[in-house]
Amino acid sequence: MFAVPLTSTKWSQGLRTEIPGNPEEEGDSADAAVRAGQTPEADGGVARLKVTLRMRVPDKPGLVAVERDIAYVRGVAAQIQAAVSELSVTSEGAPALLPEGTRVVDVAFSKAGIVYVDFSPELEAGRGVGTEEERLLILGIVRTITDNFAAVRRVVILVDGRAPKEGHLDLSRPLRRDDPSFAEDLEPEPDASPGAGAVKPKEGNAARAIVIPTHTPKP
Amino acid sequence: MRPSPCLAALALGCAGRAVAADEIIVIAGGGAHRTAVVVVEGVKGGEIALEEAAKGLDVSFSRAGRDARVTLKSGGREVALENGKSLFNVAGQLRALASPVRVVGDRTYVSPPSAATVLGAALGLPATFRSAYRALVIGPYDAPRLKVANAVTASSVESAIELSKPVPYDVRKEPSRIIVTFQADVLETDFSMEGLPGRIVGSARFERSTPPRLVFDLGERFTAVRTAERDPQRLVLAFDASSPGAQPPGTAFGPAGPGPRPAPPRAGGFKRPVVLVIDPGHGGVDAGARGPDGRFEKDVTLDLARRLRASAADSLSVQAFLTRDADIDVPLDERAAIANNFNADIFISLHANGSRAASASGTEVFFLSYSAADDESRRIALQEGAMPERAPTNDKDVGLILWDMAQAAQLEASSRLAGHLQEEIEKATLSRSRGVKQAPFRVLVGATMPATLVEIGFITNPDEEKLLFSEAHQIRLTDAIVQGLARFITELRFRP
Repeated sequence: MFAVPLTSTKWSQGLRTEIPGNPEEEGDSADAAVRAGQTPEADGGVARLKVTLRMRVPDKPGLVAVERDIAYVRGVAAQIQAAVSELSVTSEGAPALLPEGTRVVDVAFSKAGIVYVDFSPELEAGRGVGTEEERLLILGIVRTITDNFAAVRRVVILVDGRAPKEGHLDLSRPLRRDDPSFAEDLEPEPDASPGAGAVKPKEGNAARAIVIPTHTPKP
Repeated sequence: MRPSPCLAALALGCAGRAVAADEIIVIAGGGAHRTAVVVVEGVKGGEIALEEAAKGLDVSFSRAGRDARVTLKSGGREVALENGKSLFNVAGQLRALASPVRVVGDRTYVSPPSAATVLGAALGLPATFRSAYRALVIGPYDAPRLKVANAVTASSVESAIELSKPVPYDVRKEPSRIIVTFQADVLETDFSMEGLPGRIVGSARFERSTPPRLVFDLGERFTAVRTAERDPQRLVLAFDASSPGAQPPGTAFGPAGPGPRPAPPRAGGFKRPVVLVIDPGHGGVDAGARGPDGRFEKDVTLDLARRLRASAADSLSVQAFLTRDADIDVPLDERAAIANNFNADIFISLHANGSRAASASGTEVFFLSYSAADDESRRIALQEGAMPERAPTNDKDVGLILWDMAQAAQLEASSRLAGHLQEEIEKATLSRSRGVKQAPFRVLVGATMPATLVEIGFITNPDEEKLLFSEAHQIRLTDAIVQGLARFITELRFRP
């Protein structure tokens, strides 16, 4: 057991040092894409990763699964950071899932299978809009991580290295993928995604997987 | 000088805002206005400008000697002050002030008690500064008077609060006390403090504050408070105790136990009325979601909660309480704690939904999502050191009665309650039903009784915003929730 000072900006380093060379969790050849059944795809010599994001699209109140290619990065934590950062990109003109200006400051992945995602304070702005907005925000983050990184059992959302204070939802417990909170209002997942079938399509929610091979990152 | 919000309302006690720390209220000649207090080094309590304080009064000011001498005239009386001097002249006689007069620009500054002395002398009227109320009272003033009579029996304490004239007041329930706040600038009373025998109400005291208030400190046998009578001049509060033997003393404010408290004995015929606690979501600076017409979630939840309290009390014979009965902040964790303190049988939190998608619409009812594994994973996360313990949200004794995850023991009942409510809301309104859902709502986590959160519609949807603020729709929603409650209460009564 160990403790990392919460005021430390490098708290996540402390978590990482606990799991050196654990091939189950983080290693050269055991990155998330491979374990998730994906392989880095070469695109003009640059390796790409295919990830399934939970995003807003126009004319849909809920979230839909959207496939994206992102630049390959090495290591689970870096890949999670890249995938979650992708949630600040808008899709077809719908508002981005993450409130404007939100950055993923740091990600750490512990050997207990808990991933800690530390956001910049802008994340809180999205929680003031209303219950549904807040629920979708949390749901989108948790599902984007757990859908793509099968080794992740729980997700802890932090803001500035601390448990968020604002909002309707209690984020003091690590969030699990199969929490009933996150099992509704989602489009069916694409077949390529691990854990497909865990979500039952709701009546009237036709399957809609959108593949957007290229995108423009937010400036 | 801004117009006084209190002038018209003075006869009824001032219904305006409380007097702020940096101002005082001047009450004179049937009117009242506020004046700013200037902070001055070395002068305790600051100073006010006589010219501002005398606004609206029959006093004229003149200057002489390069503005060093100030003369106040009123009806033949004359008062002369001099810059830097603490003596002043009234009709040839010298009188003393607590501190020197300061003339700055076109204003003459003295301390508030000195202002009473000077203006009283100029007007030939008795004048006092009531520091507790931050009120400068000049001339005759018939302040409302307060009388409190307490009647104590073995199972209840009745407090009859009488006012000599109508004064707006509100009753606020906190975990360990009940506070009656009076919207009056000054309230006269002989009542100061009374220790009440027994353990239902420990003591009652009157606080000369702005606004003045009566505070009842609750004892360990207290279970619920009722309003036995309520009109503008009389309020009777009945504090009830747990009946001896029905449950261990101290349940309402018992010590914190590890883990969820076992459900209190509620079944078996309900020897007492069902207690319903309604939580109007948000409040105060936390406005909640905002509609496209600029209306706030905190307002519609309070409207509906008040309707629901009245309707449930009338048609279900339940005791219904609100976690807030005004536009005030109540911390999330405290809301369930209030329900716990009332030993409530049912807790309903009312919210209006919000989404960035304007088309999002419909109603839904939530109960808590929880699994025992959540606690285990939280323990691991705490051990890993990156997860801080949840900070206490306030310094009150909420921690004594808000058990972490108390709601875990109530999930089955909460889901039934949610089902009944959603079905009735679906039947009674034309809103789209989004069904019964689960989520880790903070407001539900600590509740020791069946608890749900009702999303009454999307305030961010233009059509639903209009609907939510219409009386007809609010009545429909209220009736639907009462119907759902009726079904749940019937089950409670007849369950083995």
